[in-house]
Amino acid sequence: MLHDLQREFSDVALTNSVAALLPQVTASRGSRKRRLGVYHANTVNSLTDVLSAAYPVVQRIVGDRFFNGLAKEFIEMHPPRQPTLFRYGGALADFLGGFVPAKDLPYLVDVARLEWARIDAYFAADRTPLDPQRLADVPPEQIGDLKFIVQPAHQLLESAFPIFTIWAMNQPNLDSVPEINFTHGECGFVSRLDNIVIQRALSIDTLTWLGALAEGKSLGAATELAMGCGAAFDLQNTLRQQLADGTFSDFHV
Amino acid sequence: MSDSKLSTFSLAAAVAGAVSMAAMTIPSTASAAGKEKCYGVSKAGENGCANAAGTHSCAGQSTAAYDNGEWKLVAEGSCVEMGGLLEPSDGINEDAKMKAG
Amino acid sequence: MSTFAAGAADTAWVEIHSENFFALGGPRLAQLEDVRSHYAISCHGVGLSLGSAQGVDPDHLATLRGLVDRFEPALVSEHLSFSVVDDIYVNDLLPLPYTEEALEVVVRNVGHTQDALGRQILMENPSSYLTFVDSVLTEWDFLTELSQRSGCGLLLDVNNIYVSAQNNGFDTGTYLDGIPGDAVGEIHLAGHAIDGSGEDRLLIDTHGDVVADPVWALYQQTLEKLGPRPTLIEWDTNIPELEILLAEAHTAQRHLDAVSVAEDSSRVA
Repeated sequence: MLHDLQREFSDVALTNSVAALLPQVTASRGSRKRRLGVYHANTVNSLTDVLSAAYPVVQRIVGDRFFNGLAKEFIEMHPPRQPTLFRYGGALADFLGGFVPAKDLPYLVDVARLEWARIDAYFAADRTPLDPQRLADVPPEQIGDLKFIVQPAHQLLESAFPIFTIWAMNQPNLDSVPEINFTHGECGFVSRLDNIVIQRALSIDTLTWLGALAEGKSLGAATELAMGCGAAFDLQNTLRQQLADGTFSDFHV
Repeated sequence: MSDSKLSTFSLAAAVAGAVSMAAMTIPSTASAAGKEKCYGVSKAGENGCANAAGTHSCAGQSTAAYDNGEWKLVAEGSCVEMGGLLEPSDGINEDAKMKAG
Repeated sequence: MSTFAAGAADTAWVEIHSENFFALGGPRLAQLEDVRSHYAISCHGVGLSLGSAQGVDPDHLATLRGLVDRFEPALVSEHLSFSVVDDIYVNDLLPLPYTEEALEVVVRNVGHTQDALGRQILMENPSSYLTFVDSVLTEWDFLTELSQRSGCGLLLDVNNIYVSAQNNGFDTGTYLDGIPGDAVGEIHLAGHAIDGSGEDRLLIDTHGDVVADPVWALYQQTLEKLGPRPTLIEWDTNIPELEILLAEAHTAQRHLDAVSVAEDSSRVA
């Protein structure tokens, strides 16, 4: 049956388990095992390259040998289930959470989440950023009820570790290495503007405000929540920055 | 919103202020504002990773997987430099602790 | 890429791997729009898995249909191989046994795809590194039958013929004689690597080097038999400067010019 043979071949490709398939293949010369190995190498090496392209900071943090070993175990546990390779590897953060050799690098899980958020942002649907001038036409008494539509590329992240700083200090060709303070976590967002992935660390009140807006809360309700965070929430500057970052694609009242 | 800390006026004024400032500033994220740190927008080529992410090819590679043979699952990358900032637990990351110390 | 996208290269068309553009939005699609405004496009699929016994994934087919409707490619092609089994997607072009059962599967899947897209597709011969005990047909007979029964065209990868012939011990001339020339709508060329020596010598289809001399010779032979055909040089790894790529393309164009005396000029991408 063709289907059985194909299942056996996919096992060879992903895990190099050749026992079932070996008697069914022929080689004009040399080792049949070596020939099956070509398909295994093609499959696993190219998936490792995909993971490496998606998670350059994780790779830089752990080093190439560790990363290849991590990739090998991840690929066996999570073979691709969709034909688009740029969607492969989203489960790596969760996998890292249970990966014993990485237990001394507890921030790695959230760094991986940040890197995957960048991939999500890169391939998200296109929406033109909201033109701020449209807000000028909203009657003042309706401003509090205004609800924003957030860009599909826009994602919020919150970590007990300074993941945005860790990400920044692991970029190639740094002008200066940022200060890192492991006593505080960081939160922030990842999005896309003018077809470039952007990210920014946010204060907790801004994160709360954006989270509430993303959930569909009104500007008034979101602003009250943000002001409840304790810090002096500056709506005018926050909104101006978010409009400049193209965070919203639309609004309704 | 009667018991709110916010009045309609202060909300509307803040929005109007944000809109007028948005009109004056070039909407570039490279100019980080206020206390919030901005990463990932200022350097050319920074998005190269996502650009190359997950591209398909119909080419082959080699007869050998990137297998590492005899190797230890010990992180050897930049975590070594950051190791001193965390307290590594006893165990496999002794290397990092020693170098950081 | 930007120089290229701006139309600077003397190239007639551009081929993309369809699945690399299965995104909802973002820079890749924007770049493709840009390229499309200067060049004709060919959509070369690597993941539809037309050899899968379980059939074609309807979602994949619908996404491909969307891409084809949006970019209106001049050619749509796929591979004689499988990638999907039990909903696991193996990111390689895995080989098929050349049996009657496999032939029926591929004919059905290709027919389904052509119906869904409303157009003919081209099927490419793979590079292979082994053969199957159960195979009863040669690859050229399999492709001939596939083309006749499904109405598909063929994308003849001359480097793949050479690589498979070296690895599996068949004669490239017999292969060419066995192919229905009229069905061939496109030709691929690429570089390969040699791995190992003696008994273990294998040719690997790396697309990472210049086209090898014996492959140029086989290309010449192919053109003499078929006449000129649109030809693409694939280069996916160790990508060199654009000048080297264009030099390769010009070599192919010289071969084409030599055979297209009174025929429409086929172009090289």
